[in-house]
Amino acid sequence: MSDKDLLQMFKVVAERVDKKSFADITRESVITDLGVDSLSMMQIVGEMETELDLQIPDEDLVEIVTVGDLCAKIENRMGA
Amino acid sequence: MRTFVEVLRDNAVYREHSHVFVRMDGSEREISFPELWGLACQRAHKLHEMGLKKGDRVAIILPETDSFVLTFIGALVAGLVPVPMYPPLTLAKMDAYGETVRHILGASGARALITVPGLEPMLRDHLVAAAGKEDVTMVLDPDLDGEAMERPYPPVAVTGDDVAFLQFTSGSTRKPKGVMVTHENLAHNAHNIMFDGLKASKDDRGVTWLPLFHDMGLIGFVIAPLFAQVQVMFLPPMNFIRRPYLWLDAIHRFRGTITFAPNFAYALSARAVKQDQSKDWDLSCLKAMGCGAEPIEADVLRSFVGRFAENGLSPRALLPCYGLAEATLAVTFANLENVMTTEAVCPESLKKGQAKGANGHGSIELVSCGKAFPNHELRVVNDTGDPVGDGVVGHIQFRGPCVTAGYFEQPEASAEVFLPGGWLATGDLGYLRRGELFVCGRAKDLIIINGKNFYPQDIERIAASAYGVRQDQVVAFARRASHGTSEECVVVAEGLKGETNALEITRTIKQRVRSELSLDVAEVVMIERGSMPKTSSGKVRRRETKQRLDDGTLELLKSAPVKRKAPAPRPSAPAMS
Repeated sequence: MSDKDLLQMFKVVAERVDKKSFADITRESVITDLGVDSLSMMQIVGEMETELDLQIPDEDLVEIVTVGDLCAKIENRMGA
Repeated sequence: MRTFVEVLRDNAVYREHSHVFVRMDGSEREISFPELWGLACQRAHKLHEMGLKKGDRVAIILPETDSFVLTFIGALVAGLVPVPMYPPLTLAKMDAYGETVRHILGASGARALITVPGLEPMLRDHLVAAAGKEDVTMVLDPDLDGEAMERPYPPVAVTGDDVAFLQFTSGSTRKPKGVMVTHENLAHNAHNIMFDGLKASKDDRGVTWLPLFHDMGLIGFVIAPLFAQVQVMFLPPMNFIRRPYLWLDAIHRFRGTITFAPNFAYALSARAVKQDQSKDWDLSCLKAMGCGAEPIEADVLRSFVGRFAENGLSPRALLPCYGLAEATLAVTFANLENVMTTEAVCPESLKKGQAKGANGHGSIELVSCGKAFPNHELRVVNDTGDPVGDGVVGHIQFRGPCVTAGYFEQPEASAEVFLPGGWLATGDLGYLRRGELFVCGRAKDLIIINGKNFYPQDIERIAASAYGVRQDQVVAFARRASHGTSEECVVVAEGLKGETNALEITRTIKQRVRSELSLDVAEVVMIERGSMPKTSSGKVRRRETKQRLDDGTLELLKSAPVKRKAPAPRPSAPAMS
């Protein structure tokens, strides 16, 4: 799965969870500036984990700042 | 009535009974009822050794369910007044969290803060940053660990009138209010919940993922079940949010009969649980699935029951309920044996304060939350405080032994809510039909968007910090979105003298509110200087401003780009960085 696919997947899942458009986000978008609170964010992470059948360790989540960081952590797990 | 501490002690004879605590890493810890009492005594002893005395407030920030419960009940046995606080969340804003911690520590006058080593540096930084808070003693939870005491440790007599703990739920970030819950409140509400509402016996089993720092999880599952010797399985909230199947899976495994959750959890479970995760579940054990804490949507609950019908889930298990922290927790429960009762009401009639039946399209379906518990009274009054008849919408008030002792050290705020004659003004609007309560809105200014609470004061403070906005001349409120039953947030602000760049100010306000509160403001309305509706003492009037925006009688700022009567805009997408 390419970078672009993961970003696209993030947008689709985020729209499903938070019921608003995320069309404009990029990998550089800062997660805490998305207007998504952490409860919704954890739902988004969880739904992506379920769809991809992987799990990001809690300690990895703490380091995430941008949407791209999240995609990178997922890519790491997919490669593992 | 026995206090919770006496119940905990008496339960020590139930050797076969135990709570199960699931930790964040998925491992499980079982603690039997005798151990629960022994470990609570041991922690009480440790807390006393640290110099803490009866009545001292101790803040608790503990993310794991087992350490939270043991420390909380240990503090109760010691006669201390725990102040449960929420732990920081992953991917959340740490600055806003630190501010909340500081304000609650200040408002509660906590002498100690009990937390885990991992959070200690961050919390200490915030304490040092807050002048005057360095004297709060930091206690690390592992230091309280020890062997269960063989003999009880009862040096403190706890009576019904003593404050058991402070529940911080209401009030804006800057002015948090701690509800004083007494031991008598707890005993009464626990009886209402377990015996009047749930008809529970010691064969029942509870399952919860609810946050334990909040009344629904804390009283509903840490306190009340022990009054009926009910065993509970506790899951960490974030484990459920991230992997929603864990909740129902736990009910299946633990043979849970009782669970509670807000509306959103039913929507999340119905949507996110996969067929291959649920296919082997047997949920026929469930007799009570409580739903409360936020507006109940009948459709959501019906879809949920429909989704898991194949797992033996009975529609009779659904149990809508109503409550609030100022009333300890629970005020009404629907009848346990019945299926959910709803009314299709005409929205136009509701606006006029009457709940009249609607036919077909355009109706709002409201859910009955049931009747008040024995020994309690529920009434609906009009704006002048006179009780109104069946089907008339008004202010919901409540009276009885579960009404708490008020807000800690806030006599003025308490007087607004705890009324003469023992009545509690809930701040919610609703009507009664044959004694059953239907909740249909709020009189208080609280803004609830997607199940999350926002205080207008916080939004107004942030909006007022935008350049071009007049200080203190900002109001925020919620209105029903143009489609659906959800609500959206609107800000009305006065511009500075000569200010005409409404577009720029609007953008700044939206950005700041989103960034600080993770809330999307649907619309910012800029109005002319000096035109904000105000009281004689100069305070802004939120409800009147909202009404006048509806009526189109606000003086919009000249050159204001805001188009009135346009369909409510979708919350704008986040700006590209």
